[in-house]
Amino acid sequence: MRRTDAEFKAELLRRCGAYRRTRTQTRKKVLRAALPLMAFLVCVSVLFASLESRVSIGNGASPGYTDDSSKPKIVSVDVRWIPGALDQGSDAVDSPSATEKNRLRCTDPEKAAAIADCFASQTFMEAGVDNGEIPGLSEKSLLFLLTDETGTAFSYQLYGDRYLLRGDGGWTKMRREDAERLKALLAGMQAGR
Amino acid sequence: MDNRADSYRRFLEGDDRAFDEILKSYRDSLTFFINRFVHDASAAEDIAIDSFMELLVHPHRYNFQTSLKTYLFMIGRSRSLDYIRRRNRIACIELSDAVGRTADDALLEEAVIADETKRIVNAALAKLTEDMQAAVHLVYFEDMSYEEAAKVMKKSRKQVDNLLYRAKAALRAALGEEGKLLL
Repeated sequence: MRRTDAEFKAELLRRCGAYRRTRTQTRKKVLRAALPLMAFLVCVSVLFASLESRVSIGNGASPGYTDDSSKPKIVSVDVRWIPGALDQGSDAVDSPSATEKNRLRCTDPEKAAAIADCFASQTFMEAGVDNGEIPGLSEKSLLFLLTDETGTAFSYQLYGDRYLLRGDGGWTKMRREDAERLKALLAGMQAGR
Repeated sequence: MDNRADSYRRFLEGDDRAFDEILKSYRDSLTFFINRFVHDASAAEDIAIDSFMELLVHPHRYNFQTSLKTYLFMIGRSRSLDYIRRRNRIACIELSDAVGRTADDALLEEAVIADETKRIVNAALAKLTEDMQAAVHLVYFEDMSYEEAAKVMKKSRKQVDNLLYRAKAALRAALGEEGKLLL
């Protein structure tokens, strides 16, 4: 039997109401089901965030800081170009092979802070990373010694484009934009020498 | 062409009566079009209600780029095909198939087709394929452009053109001398 206009509209509105009610109930159900998973994910991310901010390396606090209050104030930076081999470490800074040509020192606090800032954010690489996976390991590397106002030094050895061997022996990876910024700063320092 | 998009815009801005204008304009023609697929007047009316419901519950899906009529007919066609698929899964005999053309079918036709010529064409349409029927329906009964018909049918303009060419030839053959005069 064909519906009248009023019946047609009434049926339309009834179905809309029913649809909206069902949709709301479905959303609530989905949300309720997803709540434990979301809570778990939040806990995990908070845990990782807190772990990352607490990591320290070598001698003193890590320049991998996350808040300004714990940020060491870097006042000078020493850079050395050294042959790309592991275990050279900070000894290479004063080694006889470190000639004036492959050595760079920056005592301008502003520039030093800008360089230190490039090391602020790093991606941690998996523990037990195979050295064969590090590009540029056998080539020439850069050793950075960052010294803060208390005399504490932080060392980083840069292999390839952005792979860092930290003072504590752990491997990290710089963010691409930080690595590029660092490269530009070094080029500027070299040009101004 | 009044495509009622303005009425819909007014409805979205809070004018409830504007939706009545849309219902009044398209209810019968949409139901008639849907009936072309489902061959069941009450099912067609149900599907038409569902199609209008789409405008109420998902207003953001209509982009005001196509005419509201085209959009509604697109929904109507899509819902009809869903209904046919569902009906085929659950094998059942339609009452309308058992008793032939129902009084509702006749009422619906009367409400939509005022022109006697079009009624003759409508009667002959049953002999054509479903796509041809839909193409003729949209262009001939609903005065849609080929582009709009193509959108509703999810085909290219060229495909609609071909369908209409073949449909006209078939109708001429079916209607005999009368058909040559009408088409």
